[in-house]
Amino acid sequence: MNELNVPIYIVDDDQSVREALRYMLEGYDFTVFDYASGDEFLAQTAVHSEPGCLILDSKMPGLSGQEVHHKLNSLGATISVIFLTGHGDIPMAVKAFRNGANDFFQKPVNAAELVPSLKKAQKTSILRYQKYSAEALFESLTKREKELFQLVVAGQINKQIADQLCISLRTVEVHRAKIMLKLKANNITDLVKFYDTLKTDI
Amino acid sequence: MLLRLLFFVFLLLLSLTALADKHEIKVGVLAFRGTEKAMQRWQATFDYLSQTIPGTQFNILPMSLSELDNAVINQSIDFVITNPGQYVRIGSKYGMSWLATLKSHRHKQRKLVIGSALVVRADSTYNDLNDLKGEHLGAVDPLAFGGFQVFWGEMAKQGRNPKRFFSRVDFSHYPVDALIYWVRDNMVKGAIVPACLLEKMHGEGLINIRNYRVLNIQHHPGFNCLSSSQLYPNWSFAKLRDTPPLLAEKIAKVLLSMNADSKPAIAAGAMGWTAPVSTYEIHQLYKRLNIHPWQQAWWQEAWRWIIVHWPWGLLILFIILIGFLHHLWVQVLVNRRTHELELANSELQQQQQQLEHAQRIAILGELSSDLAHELNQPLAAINSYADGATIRLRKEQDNQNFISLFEKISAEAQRSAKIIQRIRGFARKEDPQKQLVQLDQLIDETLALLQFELKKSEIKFEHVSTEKINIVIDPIGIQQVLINLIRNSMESLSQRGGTRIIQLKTQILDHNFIQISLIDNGSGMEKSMQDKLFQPFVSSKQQGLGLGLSICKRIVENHQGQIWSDTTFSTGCKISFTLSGRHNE
Repeated sequence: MNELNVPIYIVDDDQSVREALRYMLEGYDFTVFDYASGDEFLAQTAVHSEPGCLILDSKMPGLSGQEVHHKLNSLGATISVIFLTGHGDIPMAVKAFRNGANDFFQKPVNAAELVPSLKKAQKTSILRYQKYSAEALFESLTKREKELFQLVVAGQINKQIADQLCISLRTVEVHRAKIMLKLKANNITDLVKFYDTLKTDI
Repeated sequence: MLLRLLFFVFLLLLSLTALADKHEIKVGVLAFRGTEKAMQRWQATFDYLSQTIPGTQFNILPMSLSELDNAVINQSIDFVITNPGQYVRIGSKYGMSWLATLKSHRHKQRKLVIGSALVVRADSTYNDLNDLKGEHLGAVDPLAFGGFQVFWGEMAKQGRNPKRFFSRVDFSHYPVDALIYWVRDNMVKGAIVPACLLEKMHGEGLINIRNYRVLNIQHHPGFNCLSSSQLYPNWSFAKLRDTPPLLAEKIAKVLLSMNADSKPAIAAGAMGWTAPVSTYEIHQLYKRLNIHPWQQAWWQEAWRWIIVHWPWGLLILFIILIGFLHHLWVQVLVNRRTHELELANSELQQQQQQLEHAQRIAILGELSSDLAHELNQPLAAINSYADGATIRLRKEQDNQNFISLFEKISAEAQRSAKIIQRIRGFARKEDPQKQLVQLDQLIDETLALLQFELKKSEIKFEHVSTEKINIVIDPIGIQQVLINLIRNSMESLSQRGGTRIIQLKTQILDHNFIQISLIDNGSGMEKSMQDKLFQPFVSSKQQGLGLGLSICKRIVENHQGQIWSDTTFSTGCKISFTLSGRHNE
């Protein structure tokens, strides 16, 4: 996935701040959506069906930035979160990073600082999204298939697997084909890549 | 022809010498019942005098009171026949002297024969002087003796004053007969007339005496008329200061030797003349009425007293001088103290203003982080716009519409400027100046200063105003009051969950006053706090100085208003204040 296609979401109650930020980011060819409150954002955005990057103000009427972040975490969202606040302090920043925020900025912020951070956050979101998708695919495997998958990516050949699991070679081959189909892999290399994605530490 | 002419000239000369021989003597006579009656009464007397005293020609000049007064003052007559009242009133000042007093015929030689009668209609309900209290009365003249002053003397004995006792006293002047007709025609309820007038008019067939009654009758043995007063001496014949004494002597002799049954005596209604009687009672009367002719102005009396008792006078003058000097000294002290007080007052005023200013700065200090955030927003926007524009220029996208961009940047810069303006306006240090403001606008400006704090605390602010109010006030001062009150409410709301509401109500009380009330649904306050709410250095906050509300009270009082807390409000607080200076279009 091209990282520039990863949408940027802005949540800030100050309209001119929102519009100005949007103007700046569109200058850097980002795809930008903006929302006046956390509630509006959560209601209108699919938070884990695709990658995304959220620029979040902290003090707002309704849900605060921190509350929005907490909600995203509890939903297991793949969206990256960057705080952009008018009155941030160190405890607030530390807490944000502990909760998995990608970055923390004070207003006003320069494009020179914000844009690289956004790009990094987009990549992170893509990775998170991929891992999330991989996990979803992996969960579609049966218990036996999961066991078999672990042995395949460990580099064992079919014969060894059949011996270890006390099943016939033919059965191993059937299972293996099913796994390849379910995980949309064409060859063993794809399977290893999938395994890497699954094991990525983000 | 020539002879006839000579004869005529001779006759003329003769008559001239005859006139020259006959010395003309003018006698002023008080014509209290009119000229005609006066002539009838006295003609015979003066014909008799003219005949008896050789070389004299007596002329009667009937006069009114004031005419006679003037004639005496100007010495334009030689003799006077008048009542003893006028004699004392004017004669004692201008050197008149009695020659003889008339002997009364009607009262058989009684010496005291002049009095007053209070006359009412016989069919009226009045039985006593008291019945006439507050009524409309008639009298002859303020200077008339029998026709007013004598009766006034009677009332004065009872401590009454005719001017206050009656609702109104009208004066008929001469002839006095008119007064009886006034009573008859009900033009007045009663009349003060000379005693014997009724009897005389009855005798002359002018009236029927049974149609009238005299009130407060005093009985005097031998006096044959009805009188409401004590009696005074009869009329007298008097000479003026410059009248030759020899002539006066001759006249006195003639008068005193006049027979009771002589023609002149009968015409005058008298039994001849007697030696002049005492005027003592009349002096007493005038003293009682405080109108004695010898009575001097108080300062003349005082001066005479001082001349006579000069050591005492000196002492009194000295005391007065000391008193005056003391007064001056006290005045100097008062002025000095007043000045000191004014100085202290203006100093206090200045300190109060400094305190108010200091509190405003303190408020701004507390708001500073919020205000910084406020300012940060437009700056952030400007920054973003600039960065956005930079990248577009770098990419040489010359189709970009930079005009709208710069408009946006400018709007954001103006927004920052407005915030700074508001802060500076509130922090301004100058004497309170009242000016015409639109109240809603002032409230909006005030809320703008607190906007972020309100938003942060998630407080819903409702501004309820039914009418547009224009008012002449000190805007900074009132802003300070509003900010203090709103921030107090915010403080009490901070401990509350759920919906936090502050409501501000403005209403018109009358053509001058308006009322502003601030209501919150916060934690309210303790009863003990409410009583001393507006005292300085009383605070429920741990870090509070307790100056906010006492400053509010002072500012409100400078607008002739009052500030109070409604204790009846159970949940939350309600604080209201009034302001004068409403401007009516």
